[in-house]
Formats: sequence, C-alpha cells, structure tokens
Amino acid sequence: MNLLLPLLLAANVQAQDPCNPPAAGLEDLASIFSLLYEYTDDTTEAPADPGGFCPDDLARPIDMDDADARADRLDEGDREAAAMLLAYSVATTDHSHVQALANAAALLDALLGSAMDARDDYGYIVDTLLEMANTIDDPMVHRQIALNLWRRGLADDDERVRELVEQYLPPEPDYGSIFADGKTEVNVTLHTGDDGFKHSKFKEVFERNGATVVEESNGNLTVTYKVKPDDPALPEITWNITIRDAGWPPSGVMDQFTDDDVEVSMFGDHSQLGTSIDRALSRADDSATSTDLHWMDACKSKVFASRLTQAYPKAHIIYTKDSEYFHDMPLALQRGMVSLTNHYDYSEMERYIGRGSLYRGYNYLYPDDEKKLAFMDQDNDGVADSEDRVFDVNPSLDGELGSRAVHIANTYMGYSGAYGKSSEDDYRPDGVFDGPEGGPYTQIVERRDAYGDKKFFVKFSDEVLSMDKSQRTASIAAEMAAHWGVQKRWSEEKNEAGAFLVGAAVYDVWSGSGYSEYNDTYLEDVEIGRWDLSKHLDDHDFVTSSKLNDFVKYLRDEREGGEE
Amino acid sequence: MTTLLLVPLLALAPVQAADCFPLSADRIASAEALLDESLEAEAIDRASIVERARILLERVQDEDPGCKTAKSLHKQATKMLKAAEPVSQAASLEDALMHALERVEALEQAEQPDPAEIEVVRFMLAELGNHYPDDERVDALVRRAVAVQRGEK
Repeated sequence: MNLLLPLLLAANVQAQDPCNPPAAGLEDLASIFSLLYEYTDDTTEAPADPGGFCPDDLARPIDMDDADARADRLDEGDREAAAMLLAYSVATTDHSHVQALANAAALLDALLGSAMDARDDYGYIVDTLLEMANTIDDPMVHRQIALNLWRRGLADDDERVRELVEQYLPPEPDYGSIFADGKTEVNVTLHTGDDGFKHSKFKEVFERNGATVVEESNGNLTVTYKVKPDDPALPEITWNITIRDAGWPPSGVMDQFTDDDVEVSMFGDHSQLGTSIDRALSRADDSATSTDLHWMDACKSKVFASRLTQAYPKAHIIYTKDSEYFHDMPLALQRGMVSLTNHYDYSEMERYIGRGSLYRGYNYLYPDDEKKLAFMDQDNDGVADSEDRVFDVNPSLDGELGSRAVHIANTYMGYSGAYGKSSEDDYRPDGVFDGPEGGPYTQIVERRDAYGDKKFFVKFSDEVLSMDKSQRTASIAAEMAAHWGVQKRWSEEKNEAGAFLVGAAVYDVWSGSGYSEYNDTYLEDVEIGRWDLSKHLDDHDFVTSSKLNDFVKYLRDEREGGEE
Repeated sequence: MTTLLLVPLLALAPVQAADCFPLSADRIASAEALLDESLEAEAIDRASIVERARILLERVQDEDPGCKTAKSLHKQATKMLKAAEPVSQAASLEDALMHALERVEALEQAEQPDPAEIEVVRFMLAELGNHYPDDERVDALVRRAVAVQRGEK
C-alpha cells in the first residue's frame, strides 16, 4: 500500500506556523520535508521537538539517526513515493540552497539504506541520487552523494555508481593531465631538506638507473631521467626532476599543486606529525580542480589529509601510513617515474614500488584506497569523510582542528611503547558537541566504522576547539589515552599518569600555550613544569612502559611528599 | 645462488608467441627482457623489475586472453618473484644498516655531535627495530647511538 501517494497531491502545502515561511526557491523541498517528517513522526513517543519540522531546519545538517528511523517506518511503496517527491522538489530547488540539497541527498541515502536492509527494490532511489549528482553545482554535495553510494557498496555492481565514486577514489593517475597534448617531457619537483639530502641516496639511486644527476651550486639536484616504457605501445618519457632544499620549516611545498609546468611533486622531509606543512599550506593557492599527482612522503603524512583535501579536493595525493625511511624515498621517486611512464594504475604502482622496500610494500596510501577517507574532512565539521553522511556546508566551528588533533593523538599513541602499535588509528573524529565548561572535552563511543571495523568515535567539545593548538591536541590526546587505559583495565593511578604523558608528548613545549591549564585539568594536585616533563618521555617511543612506571612512582612520591 | 636457480627457469621458456597478437608478442619480448635484466640487476632492484614483467604480462592476458605464452611466462615470473623478494628486501635492510652505521660512526667521531642528527639517527634506528625486531645489528647500533646521546662516546 502506498500511503504517501495522497500526499503527492498536497506537495505544495506550505509549512504551518510557528515556522518562518521557506525562502524563495526552497518552497517545494521544504514542503516535502515537512510532509515526510510529519508522516513519519513516531506517535508512540512524545516528539523531541514539539514545534516539529520547520523550513529553517534545512539550513542545518539533518540528524541522520533520526532520518534512518523515519525511513525505516516506511514500507516499500512509501519509500519509493518519498524518493519521487524528493526528486521532484530537488529539481525545483534553487541551487543556492546548498545545505537543503545536501539534506535531501542525505534523506535519500537514509531511504536507500532502509530499502537495502529490507531487500526491496532500490533502483529508483539510486537513479534519483545519480541524477542529483549529475545536476548539482556544489562540489561538496556531489562528494557527499558519491561517498554515500560508496558506503552502500554499490560501485561494484553499477557502472554509473563506479564512475561517480572513482572521481574521489581514482583508480589511476590522471594521465591526460600528466601527459597533456602527448608531451614526453615532464617536470617533477621534490622538496626535501638537510636530512633528506644527508640520508637519502638520490644520486646513487638515479645514476644506477641510467639518469644524469647534476649538483647545482646551491646544493639542489637536477635529474634528467629518460625512461623507456616496458610496453612498446607507449612513448619514452623524459622526467626533468628538481630536488630542492625547502628549508625548515619547509616552504614552497604546495606551489607545485597549482603550477601548470609541474605535473608531479613530492614532499620528502620530516612531518612533525602534521605541522611541517603548516607554513607551506598557508601560502598555497587553493585549487578546486587540480588533478596533479603529489606524493607526501613524510612520516605518517595521513595526518595532512584533512587539510589537503579541503584545499585540493581533486588532487591525487599519496600519503604514508607509517614512518617513512629516508632510505625508501629515492626509490619511491625513481620507481614512481617508471610507474607513470608505464601508465600503471594505483594498485600496480603499489605492487611495483613496494617490492623489496624496507616496509615490504605497505606504507603508502594511494588515491584509490578507500581508507584515506578516514583521514579526510572536506566539509570541516570534524566528522571523518568515511563516516560523514550529511555534509555541513557552513560549519560554525572549525571542526577540522578536532579531526587533526584526533589523528595526531592516534599517531602518538601508536608510537608510544606503553600503548603499542595496535592502538594507532583506533579512534576516529566524530564532530563537535556542546560541552561543559572546563571539560571533559571529548565524548567517546564505540561502534563499527564504514569499513566494518570496531572503532572509538571521538566527539570534541566546542570549548576545546577554541584552545591553542598545543593545549587542544594535548587535551584530546589525554582523554583518548585515558579512555584507552580504561578499555585495558589499567589501574586508575597508571591510567592517569599515562594519559597525562600522552598529552604532554603531543604538547609543543617550545611554542604552545595553555600548559598550566592542561596540567591543572589532568593532574589536579601535582604541578610539573613542561620542560621537566620531557625527562619522563622517550625521544622516539614517547610513553614507554618503563617511563610510565617511573612517572607513576614520581606522582606517588610527589603526593606523599605533599601530604607530609 | 638465486640467480643460478632462476636461469634454468628462463631457459625453459623460449618465446613462442605465435598464438598471440603482434603487439602481445612485442610485449612478451619486453617482459622477457625484464626478467633477464632482473638477473643482472642489483639485488635491491631485482624483485621490482620482476614485478614490472608480471604487470606487463597481465596486460597482455587482459587484452589477448588467447595468448598462452603470456600466461606461462607470467607463471615463471611469479616463481622468480618469490625467490627475488627476500633477496631484495635483505638488500634494502643491508643498505639501510650500512647507511645507519656510517651515520653512527660519524657521530661517534664528532667532537660535538649534533643533537638533532642524533635524534634523526635514533628515530631511524627505532623504526628499523620496529620492523626488524629480530635483527641484532639494529640493536647494536641503537646502543651505540644511545651511548653517543649520553656522551659516553
């Protein structure tokens, strides 16, 4: 039975008081939302919002748990009718109402999920979403639709969905751009620094493979590398590679992202867990359309992804999952040139470049790898793109600051011997909540992620976002570590000490502010100077088991001393 | 030793590409040249060159499914890869250890070793230790770097 069909006749009904009337160009969509929400209200429970749905609500992202519940209350015919009503109203909606359109696409995703769960026909809903993606102007709504369809696992069976999803998970480099107009000479730039030149054997690796390497007076290297393709159907390519010292902190790293003369670039220097590109990124020109290939070959460069995706949403960027060896960097660059000459797709690149490397081939996160979405936050709402079903086109707070803090905290926990490698990336950013003053600054819940793995999802408070970067990251890291300790049933004493040290490891002792507040929040009764803390941390493994035990003892002694 | 084992494998596979398109035959010849090259290449590059041959042969099979020569040569290449991968990986580790040794020795010989350089070398060794925990040479170098850091050398 299709109970919604009669509502089709009422599609132009305007929302009732006490709502404001819908804005121009939003009338139909507001009416349809209003009708659907009224129709799907759960009458067994008191409505959470006695005012019901208002057109103004479309200016904010809809609640997806609520949307899913509403979709589940519809039968197959109703869902199809709802999709038809939404399709009709989207077509008449002015494209300036971007959030409303994002909400419509998100509600369609809820209908799709419900139909798939019920094993009903869902073809019409997919058709509607694809039509919407084809006609939508806004790149974020387009991305939201594509990633929602990816999450539903429809790309394997539907060519149209696959083509849409591949715009965000491209299977191969954009060879049309790299070799535009059939050119056979391509410019490449690698930005590195003192340690890159000292510890990477660029000259040796390229000369071994037949390249000419010239050392310039300023120490930069110019490499001319002619690569004969393995496939006789392809042309020989000359790669003109400049390996330059970008200084410290590195500058100019992102210039190539928008440079028409450079199609491929690499950044190969220290990551400082996401901070080393800060200066370079702030100087870069944003580009929404560049599809050039960039290799962020710094340690755990996945933590760059949330910012780079916002600035360069279409760029093909290769990230590292773990630390990168300077040893592997020249190999990656040289083999990268061979890969591109042979028009490898990313899975072929991964196989070839990783062979015989120190990492046994697993360290790179290629642009076709769906796992990269966990590190991205294109709409800046603090929710990982892999989980974000409705984009916030105008977030009131900079949620990416929280996303980045969660990822940085993940990496520090992964490095820390007491927490172990297995703890890395157990936590996912999950957006902002209206938190109490003075903390706690996070809310952490466990659930399955878009890949089917159990993860801890971290919401961060509006207050923590307003803190200095060091204090913010340290606070989020400390609360994540404390949560982890509880999962592992550590003693309260050990957990408190460990969490404090993880936050302290993240804290920038040179330039951070808010340290005393951090100390007061997480170690109320013991005051310890930021510099004194460094002796409780290992240079590489940060919070080791032995350092942690020593710190527990230190705190015990301090407290006992204080009581005397 | 690995080379001696692999040469007979190749010798068993003269290119018989009569069942293949002309372009496939050219690609097969190129793949065979790569497999030959891998035998002469530096150990560190060997596995990656064999992988190039495999990828090329897979393309032949995709576009020319009736080309049996590509299939049989791909099988041989896969066997070669199994032998070459540990050789290349060991060579990578040797190369990295040799470099680390040079850096540690330079630190030991320096009158005032640069703390930042010590940190980089220690970090590099710590990561090597994480990935090759059973290699005693890594441990020994870590101990030497720590000694430099503590001013004991």
